[in-house]
Amino acid sequence: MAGALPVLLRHAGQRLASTLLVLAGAVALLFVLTLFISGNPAQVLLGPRATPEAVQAFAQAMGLDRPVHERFALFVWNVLHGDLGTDVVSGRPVAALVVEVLPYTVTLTLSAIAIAVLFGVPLGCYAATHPGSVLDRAAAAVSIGFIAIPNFVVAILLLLVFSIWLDWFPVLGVSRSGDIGDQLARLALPAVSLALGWIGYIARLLRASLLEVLGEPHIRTLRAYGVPDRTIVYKYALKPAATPTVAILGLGVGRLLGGAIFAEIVFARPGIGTLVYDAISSRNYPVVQACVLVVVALFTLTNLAVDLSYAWLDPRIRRAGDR
Amino acid sequence: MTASPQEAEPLIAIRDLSVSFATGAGPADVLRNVSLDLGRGRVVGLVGESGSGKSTLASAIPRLLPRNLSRLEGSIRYGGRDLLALPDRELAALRGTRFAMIFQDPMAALNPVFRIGTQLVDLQRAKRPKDRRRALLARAAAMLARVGIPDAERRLSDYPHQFSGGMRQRIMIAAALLAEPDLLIADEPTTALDPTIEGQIVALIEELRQDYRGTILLIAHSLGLVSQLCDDVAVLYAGTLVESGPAAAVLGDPRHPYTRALLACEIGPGVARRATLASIPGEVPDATRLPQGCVFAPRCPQAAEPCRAAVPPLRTLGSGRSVACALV
Ligand SMILES: Nc1ncnc2c1ncn2[C@@H]1O[C@H](COP(=O)(O)OP(=O)(O)O)[C@@H](O)[C@H]1O
Ligand code: SF4
Ligand SMILES: [Mg+2]
Repeated sequence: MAGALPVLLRHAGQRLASTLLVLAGAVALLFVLTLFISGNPAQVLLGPRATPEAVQAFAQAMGLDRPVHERFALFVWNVLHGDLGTDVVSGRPVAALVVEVLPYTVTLTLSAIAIAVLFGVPLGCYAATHPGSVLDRAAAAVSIGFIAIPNFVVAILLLLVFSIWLDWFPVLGVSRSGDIGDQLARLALPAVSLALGWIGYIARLLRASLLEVLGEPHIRTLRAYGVPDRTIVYKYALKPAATPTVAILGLGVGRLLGGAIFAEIVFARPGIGTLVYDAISSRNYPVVQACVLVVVALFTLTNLAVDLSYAWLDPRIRRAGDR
Repeated sequence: MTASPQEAEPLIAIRDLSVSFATGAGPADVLRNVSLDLGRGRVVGLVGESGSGKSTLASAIPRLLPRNLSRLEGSIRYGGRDLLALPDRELAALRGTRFAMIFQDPMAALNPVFRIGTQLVDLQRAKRPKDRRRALLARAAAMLARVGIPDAERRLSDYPHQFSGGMRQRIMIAAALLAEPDLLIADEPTTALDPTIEGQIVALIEELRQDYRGTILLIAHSLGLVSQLCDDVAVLYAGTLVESGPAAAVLGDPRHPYTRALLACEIGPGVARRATLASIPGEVPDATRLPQGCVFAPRCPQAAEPCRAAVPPLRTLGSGRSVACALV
């Protein structure tokens, strides 16, 4: 065991380095993409009746008239300093806008994952131990249904049924007050709309890998020693079965973030989603850029976390202790 | 041993055990009317070619049979009860308390992602439901030391992949002994190990007989192993028990042509540990298409008319011996 920690740290270091590389790539790509955005942003922002002089002055102020390589160097320099540019509408620093709304998106996404895991894992375990049962087949059908239906449709349906029709939940927005109950009530529907597809998805993935693990000889050992089924499934089978599920979950965070953007728009919650939506509508591209950068960062960081979790899930990955 | 096994009440009495599995090619009759006594405190060797049904027979006792089981008939009496008629819950309560098992592949028999200590605690739980984890870990460490694992206490926090195959099999033996079972089933415990390690494990099993006086059902891939470790022997061929009795008597004077053929395959106990039982000409019949009459007839040098007429029943010959052959 003595060698395990340094190896874990080295592994983490390597993964962190590759994460930074991905982020650098994302920054470069983002810059290139802005070059292809149609329309002169200065013209768009100032409106059709702006004088050419005004447009020119604005473009100069934003640095839009400089050569590409200079703009790129400046862009990178600024990003490295946490300067994501200035909101062309309000004149506020974009970083401040992002920092303000980021917690809402993170909370929403984490809540969705928590709900999905909380329901998906027991469902998957049940399905694996009762293959062909009514609940197993129902879960399969429902999960395929939810995977096929786009997230925002689910969001709109939930909104219609639970907020407008049944009036169980507040309709829109977030509570700015410190009232936890109200905040949770406003979080519930968007989070559930995101989680619904994932519950079935996690259950299906887990069911498949659990069925495989449950057929392995080490499970037979536990049975031969009278270890209770509960311990066998939730402890000894779940951990080795979790790796593929966690891997796919990590990749799925991108989709989940995409879903969060729609959920925020549908439920009119502040967040990266609403921020980027408004920014796109107004061609406010420093904000668009910043939002994309933040989403890419969230995605790569999640994958880093997922990758590091493998070492915890499977000690064979920490090679140092080998004898 | 004062009383000979056939006089004393056996620990386990298997009678007319038949087991079939559902397969794509129809039902596979893996065991047919097997009758066998496992005497108290005896080491009973079970031999037969691969696929003859040894593992199935062993796992039928604690009823750890695969899901596609389609027939389970006969009786297995233990402590005045028929294990085959016992409700699931009562049978599960015997596992890890009265019965313990060691498996062929020690690489796969332990969970790869949990520490040895954790696994040994949970494997002891059924036997000692009230003990604290710390006490169970201490017992585990002591037993690991007993079976020859150096630095046992510290190694409780290691994972299976950090042990060699031989060490892993020692861990499995420790797990079995921790259960203090009435019956220890060892399913080819040395087959997956290389010969030197195999020798060490055999020596360990011999040595442990000083502490552990329960019954052992030892599935062996060679008669050499049986003559070295076992009091009794039972020979399976294609799901049929063809001969059983005290090891010395059966191996010294085999009556069934199949037992004789097996012995002929092994030049001597020491040399031929690795000798394959499949060196007898012909093939084991498919369990879904067994021949009429004696199952060994297609390969038997003595096969004659009466052999194919009916399945020869297992008959007792006295002094604890039984044979299923029409000509004996
Ligand atoms: N679950 C199963 N389904 C169908 N056939 C099986 C199953 N398990 C074992 N068998 C067959 O039963 C026979 C006996 O298997 P087994 O008891 O493992 O033999 P042994 O331990 O002597 O090698 C083999 O022919 C094997 O293919
Ligand atoms: S019954 Fe006949 S065929 Fe079968 S073992 Fe005896 S002699 Fe051989
Ligand atoms: Mg076997």
